[in-house]
Amino acid sequence: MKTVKVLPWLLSYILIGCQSTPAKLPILGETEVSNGDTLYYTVSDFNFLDQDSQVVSKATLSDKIYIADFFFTSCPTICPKVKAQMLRINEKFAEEPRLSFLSHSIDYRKDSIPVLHRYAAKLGITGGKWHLVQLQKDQIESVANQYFNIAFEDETAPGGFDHSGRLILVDTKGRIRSYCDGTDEQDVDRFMQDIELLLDEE
Amino acid sequence: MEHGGGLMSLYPPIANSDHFVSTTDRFACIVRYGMHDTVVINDRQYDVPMQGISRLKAPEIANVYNYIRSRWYPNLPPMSEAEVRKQLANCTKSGN
Repeated sequence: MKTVKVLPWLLSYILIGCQSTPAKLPILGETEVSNGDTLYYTVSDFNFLDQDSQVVSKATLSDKIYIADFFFTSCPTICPKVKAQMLRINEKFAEEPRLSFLSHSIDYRKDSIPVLHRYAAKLGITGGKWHLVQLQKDQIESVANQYFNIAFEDETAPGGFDHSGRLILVDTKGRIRSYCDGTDEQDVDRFMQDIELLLDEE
Repeated sequence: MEHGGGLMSLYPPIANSDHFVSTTDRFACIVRYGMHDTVVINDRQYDVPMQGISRLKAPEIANVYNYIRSRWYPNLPPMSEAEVRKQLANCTKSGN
């Protein structure tokens, strides 16, 4: 696994974030000021079919906060640990209908809808809250960049793809509000507090 | 999963695994080439392919084996680098 590159401005948020526990989560990403209004970074529109062949788009998730991540079903490295942590989050918020999950597979060759469906079944994912979608080859980089994430094809990486194990928290307006290292249980604990903060705010 | 118990029916356990014990003679092949067939481990079926990790060299494979052994199978003998090389020379490339 390569070291994940963090953009300098993203790093500055981390450093600021360490100083105190905010009562309200910061809004991450570049902002623009236009006619006196602050315009925040938002995730661009998307349209996928999930493991149950249901449409997942910005519109279908418009009343949800969601956790985005990148993985592939045959990933031999960090994905098992990340998925175990996501299951922990899913269990903790099992009764919370306002939280969804959007897991992007970057294996455009193998992770078809039936493969994702079987994978979800093996993880006990049911109930329509957790969407697994397959990215096409030409979508990987652009979608991953939407979430400040890094995922790309790399024939030298185990399994053929390289990506970070980061989990990204997105609010109902498509704004990125928090993230964590999905392989680190303690960081995920902190992330779950952020999820509660955001649910209180929404 | 940190305790070797696997993850639901996706990833099989490495601790207390009848499959691990019965395949120590081709452990190096499984690490290098993965497993692509359905396997039954402790009476449960697993069919998610395991990718091989081709970049691990013989001493590293021996280290992986000896870590698993010392953590979960203290009664099994350790594996030498020479034994790993011997196994790798006889792999069928399917690992199974």
